[in-house]
Amino acid sequence: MYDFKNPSRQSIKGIAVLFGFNSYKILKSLFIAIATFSYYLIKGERVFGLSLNQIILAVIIVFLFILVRSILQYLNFKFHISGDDFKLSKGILNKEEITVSKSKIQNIYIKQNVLQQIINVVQLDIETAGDAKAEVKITALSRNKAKALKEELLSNVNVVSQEETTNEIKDERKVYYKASIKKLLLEGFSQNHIKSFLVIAGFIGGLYSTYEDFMQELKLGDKFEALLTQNSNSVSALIFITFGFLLITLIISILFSVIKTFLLNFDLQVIEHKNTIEIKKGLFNKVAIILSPSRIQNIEIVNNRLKRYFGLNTLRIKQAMVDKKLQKHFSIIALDQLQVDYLVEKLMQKLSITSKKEKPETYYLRFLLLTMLVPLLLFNVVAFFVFENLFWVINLFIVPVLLLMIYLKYKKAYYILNDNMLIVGDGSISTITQLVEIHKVQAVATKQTVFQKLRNIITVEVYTASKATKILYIKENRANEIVNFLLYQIESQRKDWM
Amino acid sequence: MFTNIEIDIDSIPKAETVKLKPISKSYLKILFINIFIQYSILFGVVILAINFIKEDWVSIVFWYVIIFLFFLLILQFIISILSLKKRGYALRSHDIIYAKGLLIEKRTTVPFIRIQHLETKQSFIAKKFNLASLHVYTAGESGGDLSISGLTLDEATRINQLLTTKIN
Repeated sequence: MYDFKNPSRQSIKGIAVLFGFNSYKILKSLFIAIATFSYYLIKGERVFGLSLNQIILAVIIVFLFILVRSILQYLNFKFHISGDDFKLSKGILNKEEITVSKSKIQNIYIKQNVLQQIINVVQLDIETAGDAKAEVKITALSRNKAKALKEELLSNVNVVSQEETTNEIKDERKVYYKASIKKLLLEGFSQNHIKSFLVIAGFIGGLYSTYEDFMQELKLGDKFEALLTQNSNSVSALIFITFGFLLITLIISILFSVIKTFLLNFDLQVIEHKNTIEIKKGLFNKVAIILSPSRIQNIEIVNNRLKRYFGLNTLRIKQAMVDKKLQKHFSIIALDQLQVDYLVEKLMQKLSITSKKEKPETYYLRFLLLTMLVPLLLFNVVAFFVFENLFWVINLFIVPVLLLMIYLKYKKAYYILNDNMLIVGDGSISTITQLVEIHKVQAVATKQTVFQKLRNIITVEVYTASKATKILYIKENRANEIVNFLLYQIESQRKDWM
Repeated sequence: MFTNIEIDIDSIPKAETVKLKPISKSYLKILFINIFIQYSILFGVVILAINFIKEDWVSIVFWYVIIFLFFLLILQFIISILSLKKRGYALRSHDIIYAKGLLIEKRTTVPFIRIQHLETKQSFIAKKFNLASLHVYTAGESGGDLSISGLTLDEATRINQLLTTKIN
């Protein structure tokens, strides 16, 4: 039938498809220019002193250029299958040589847009697990050839089909956990309210700039000023107003956090299937997510002091090849410690700590202090020139808070390297425990600035398909040990990452 | 039978002692050409500005901007010369190592079994010097990919072929 061993081009009709695509691209990028041109043309005026004939000539030249480009693209676009690899070469001036090994192909789509329907060709997209750029697109193939190519590419390969997880037998499901209303409210109450405050502040700021004129009409500022000048002799009144204001913002922020948590996680259910775990949640926007252990890359356990007291942990799960919009729903809130352990074991492996906890070097603390100092100084200098006197008082509040944050950040940073799992601690107000299974690691890197080099300190970055986990500021020889150990484990175990 | 012997850290192969192979010296020419193009555009814009915007502050700022740009240009030349020495790669029997960066040194190692696919690219300028770049993609969206620039075309093709056989 079709021979894919030798390099072949697309269907000759491909020139038409490419021409269509290229014209569309150029028209889109020149949209404004074309719009102005048409405007002047309709008004009967000359544009840049060009006559109608000259314009028509220019348009013809552009389309000729597109046609030549399309033909060259068509001629330079060749693909073939050699052994277990699909090979594609393309590019007119910048040559590209793409090799996709059959076993790495995740999905193959055959699709048709309007133009392709008219000229009766199909488009074949090959999706690998890598990033979006790696995608291979063949824009014009006859339907039979596309089918043959798809079959050829999928032969002897177990493609992870999307249906695999959803087609589970319904009978084996059982609800493992259901979040009670009380737990949801507590969870909302113990959120990071600074974040909520910022969201609200941003919202109000946005509103204010939209309705600025209207607000000025109300003369709110004048009234406030009058209130202040009236009471300016009594300092206690000023303090009272400030505290009242702070209290109101705090209450609004807390309310916001509680409502948000409640809406997003209403009727949260964790349902256990045979091999997978399903999450259902949401009031207005209901979501149902299926977690399959083989595709899970990273897990984060998040809590803070208050949440630990109430027994509330959040599990954030990072899964490979998930739509970006959906990824933010991959979390389970309000879990107690036993439930966390159970789910981690179910989704990854038993969380056992066999090695000792190791800390970053104290240089990390110094680095944090220095990075705090720069914006603080800048802020103070600007504030000094803009507001002049007495503004520095705010430092009495800011500096201790920042110092506390830095202290907490250093205190909570640690790492544990087990035989098959890496555990990294992080967070300042909240406590974050990051879990990475070593056989899911894609690549390992070390990063070192000039300043770190002087002190033999280095940062190790561990990449999985979803996230980079950093082991910050450790001694160089220890870092080398870690890198060698990780590589040894990955390369000697030869386990699949998915 | 399943065994679980303790791994002796000292007996594991050491990646840090591997000697890196430097990339081609002529890559510096490409870097220079790129910088040259960038800055001729920047200088061009500034010179256009002085000719078209007839306001006082423009002519005052003009020379400062020119001097600043010139200083930046020199700095970039120096950085690219120095950083060329930091670029290097090495192949071991199970992974590929690539290092680069002057102010922040980064050394990435990708095991062969984690490579998703490979790409050899040759830009228009690189073609003139017979150079190519090799891109090694993993499944990581988080940045575990490698792109080794400044290899000779022959070298790039050879590594590409070697890796292709290794990953299958």
